[in-house]
Parts: sequence; C-alpha cells; structure tokens
Amino acid sequence: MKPVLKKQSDAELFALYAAGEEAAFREIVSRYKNGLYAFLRNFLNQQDMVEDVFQETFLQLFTSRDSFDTSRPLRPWLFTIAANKAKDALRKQQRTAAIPIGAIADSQEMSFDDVLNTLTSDSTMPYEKLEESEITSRVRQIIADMPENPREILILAYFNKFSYKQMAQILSIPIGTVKSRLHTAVGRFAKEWKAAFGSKKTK
Amino acid sequence: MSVLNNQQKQLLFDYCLGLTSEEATAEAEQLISSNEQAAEIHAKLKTALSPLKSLESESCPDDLAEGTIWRLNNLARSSQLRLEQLLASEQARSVTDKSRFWRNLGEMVATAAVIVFVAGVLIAPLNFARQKSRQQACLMQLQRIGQGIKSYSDDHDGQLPAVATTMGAPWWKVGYQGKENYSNTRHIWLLVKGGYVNPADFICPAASQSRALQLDPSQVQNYNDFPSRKYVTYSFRIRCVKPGEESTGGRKVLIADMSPLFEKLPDDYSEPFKLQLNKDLLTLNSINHKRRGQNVLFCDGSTIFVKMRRVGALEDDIFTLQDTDIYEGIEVPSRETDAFLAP
Repeated sequence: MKPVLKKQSDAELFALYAAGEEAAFREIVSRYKNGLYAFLRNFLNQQDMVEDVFQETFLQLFTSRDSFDTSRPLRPWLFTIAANKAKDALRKQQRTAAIPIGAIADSQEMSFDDVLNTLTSDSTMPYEKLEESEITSRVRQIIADMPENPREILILAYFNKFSYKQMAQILSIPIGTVKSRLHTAVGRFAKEWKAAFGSKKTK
Repeated sequence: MSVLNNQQKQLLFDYCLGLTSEEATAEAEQLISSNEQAAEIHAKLKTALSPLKSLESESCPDDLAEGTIWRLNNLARSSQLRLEQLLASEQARSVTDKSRFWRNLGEMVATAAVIVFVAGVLIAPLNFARQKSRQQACLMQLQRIGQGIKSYSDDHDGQLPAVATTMGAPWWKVGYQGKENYSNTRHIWLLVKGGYVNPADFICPAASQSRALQLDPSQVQNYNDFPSRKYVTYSFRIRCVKPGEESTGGRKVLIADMSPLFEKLPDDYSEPFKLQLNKDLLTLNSINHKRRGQNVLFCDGSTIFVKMRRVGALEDDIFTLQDTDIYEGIEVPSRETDAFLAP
C-alpha cells in the first residue's frame, strides 16, 4: 500500500476509490473496517449476514460513487449505506423466518427520568462473578432481542460514537427523535440486563 | 444540593455514552465532582452501560477485509470492461454505419410505397379526367373548324374549301409546298389562309407530340399547305371521284382525329407510298385519344366522340375504302356513301 495514501483526506481518497484504484480500496476499507464491522456485528448478530452486508456496503459505496457529495464526511455516508443494507438484510430474513418476540415487543418511548428509574443503584457489580465469555454472549443476546430502532441507535451512539447530528443524518430522522430513541435504548438495555442478571442470581 | 435540570441530566447521559465534546466533558466531570445527585446518576449509568464494554474489542477479521477488496477490484474491472465494451461497440457502429443505412433504406422504401400507393389511387382518376377534358377541347376545336367551313362556304357560293386535284394524283404529301396539289390537307389549308380557322385548331390537344407548336400567322401566306404533318393531327375526307357531286348537307363525315392508317408518312416526298392493311389497322382507333375512340365532325357541323370506326346507318369504316386493302396514297372513294378520311 502506498504510504502516501494514509495521509490523504477522505475526499481525496474517495476520488481514487471512485476511479477504481486498488490502493484506495485498501486504504478506505482499512480506515473503516473495524467500526463498520463492530456496528454490523452488534446490529445483526449473525456472522454470515454481517459479512455479506460488510462487503455489500463497500461495493455499494463504489457503484453509487456518483451520488456521493464529496464535500461531506465519508464515515456517516458509509454507515448510512451500511444501516440501510443491514435493515434490508433483516427484512429479507424476517420474510422467511419467525420474528423474534423481542423485535416486536414494546418500543414505547422512555423519558430521561424513566431511564434513571430503571437503573440499579447497586454499585456492586454482581455479574463480575460471571465469566467474560458469558457476559459477552448475554449482552449480545439482549441487544439482538431489542427492537430494530433502539438497537440501531444504541450501537451507533455507544460503539461508533456518532454525534446526534450524524445519527440524524444516517437514520434520516430528527435529532429530537434520535435523543428519545437513545434514552429508550439505554433504559431498555438496563432493564433487560437487570432481568437477565436476576435470573442468573436465582440459579 | 441543587436539583439537576434536564439539560444537566442530558449532559451526564451523553458523557457516559462518550458523546460529549472536550468542553462538555470537562463540564460534566465538574458537575459529577460537585454534585451528589450527578455523581449518583453517573454511577448508575456507568453501571448500566458497563456490560456493553465486553463487546467493544471485536475488530474486523483480515480475510473479510481482503475478500472485500478482492470483490471491489472485480467490480471496478468489470465496470471498466463494460465501459470499454460499450465504447468499442459504439465506435464500431459509427464506423460501419450499416444499420443506419438499412434503417434509412427501410424508411425510404416505406415512404416510396406510400407515395406509390397514393399515386396509384389518384393518378387513374386524374388521368381519366384529363383525357376527358382534352377530348372535350378537341371536340370544340372540330366545331370551330366546322364553323370556319360554314363561313367559307357562305362566302364562296356554298362551295366547300377545295383546290383543284387530278385523278390519280397523290394526296398523302402533307407539308409539300410545291405547285402541285399533292396533299389532301391543301383544301383545308384554304381555311387557314383565308383566316377562317386558327391554325392551332388543327392540332388535337390530346395529341402529345404536337403540343406547344405555334404557327406564326405572318408566315401562313408563304405556305401552300400546312408546314408539316406535325401541324395537322386530323384526317380529312377524300373527295369523291366526281367533285361536282359533293354537297355540304347530310350526315357525311368530314373530319376526324388522325387516321391510324397514316400515322407514319414518308419524310421524302419522292418515295412511293404503300400500305398493306392488317388486322390491327382495321380495328385501331385514332392515336390522338389513346386509341379509345375519335372525335368526328359531320358535314352539318355536328360533332361526336365515337368509340368505333364505323359510323352512320351504313356502319361504314371512316378510315378505309370499301374493298381496298393496299393503299398507295392516291385512292379515292368511288361512292359518296363510302367515307374515307386521310391521311
């Protein structure tokens, strides 16, 4: 890989990417692969689907190169494509498979105070006793069982650290909706975690 | 301890999720250290979100990244290849230009077919109408000639226009300007010379080859006959053996459209003329009206278009002599009832 590409801005790099330069493909994939992979891994929770959407996202970035406004940052654009592709993949799957109960469960909005009320005041962390692999799988399961909207926003915010404005762009929703969805997502996760932990403790 | 407002709570929320700017981060930390409620909220949120940390460490497998780059290269190559193929085919097409040629040819053929069809539909009635109008114009000319003859006759004690002829002298030499009266048209030429009939009236409007021929009136007096066959496309009655027996009355045929027997006359007047009748010459109508028939002027000045050559109660063929098959241009009818129009 040409070292000079590492210093180039996203816009300059994208011009080479659009021209079909292999070095540019490498650099852009390398810049965004981890963030995108983590987002898809958490959002989709199915390895084959994650890999498909991951590749499709970069291919789509190339095929729709003419529609990208190079004056705007590349990362939110890439995640917009990824989020749409991921949702398409889920919908395609849901047409053929049973819908998990969590996905259609209540997605009622929670106020900030509602969120705080669901949080435990217990500062001790009982799940520390659990093995790390078990924690990981349990967290993954909780996230996977969340409805699509809060799951998506929680991942974009917590793991990918997008700003409210960028998330609003990626999801094509107002900033206010982004905030309220994020509150709901955090509150929901805390509630589910507490429930899961409780079930563990009773064993 | 002051109660936190919603904005401060939101700040703490963003701080715990790592969404705050540097400035906001400092503000949040300051709030947590100075406010008990803020510290409590921070602790709760931190506890709630801490399990999520277990998922953070996952990074993209190398083979997935490599596979993606491989597919991107393939896509770029195929799109480049496709573009080149399109360009090549476009260039190849403009060079040969074959399809355009055939398309243009097809359009031209289609247009031509439409034109031919429309023409086919329109030309027949138009032709018919044109023929009809020319036939009518020809009839009017014959009537004017008839009136000219009548005027001449009135001016000359009831005599028809006639020049002196001798038995056995040729009558076919139309255009001969010598002293001898060797043309049957010389009688009629008297009408032109005397100003009774316009010379243009002797050219049938339907006779294609004679159109636009104009005889200068100042030259008329220099001629003893029509200048040539082109200036007269009618055939005239050959006088009977005994000129004195001729009369102006009755239903005798006087003039008709050009005889089919004498369409072609020798240019050289010294050559002998000989014509053997055949089946065609016995049945053909005048060439003037495309063999459809001929206009006829009778002695009484009446005119008619007849589709047959046989006219009158006796059904006499106006273009032939009875009992004569060979013509040498000197024959005359032996009876007044045997009409013979020539040349």
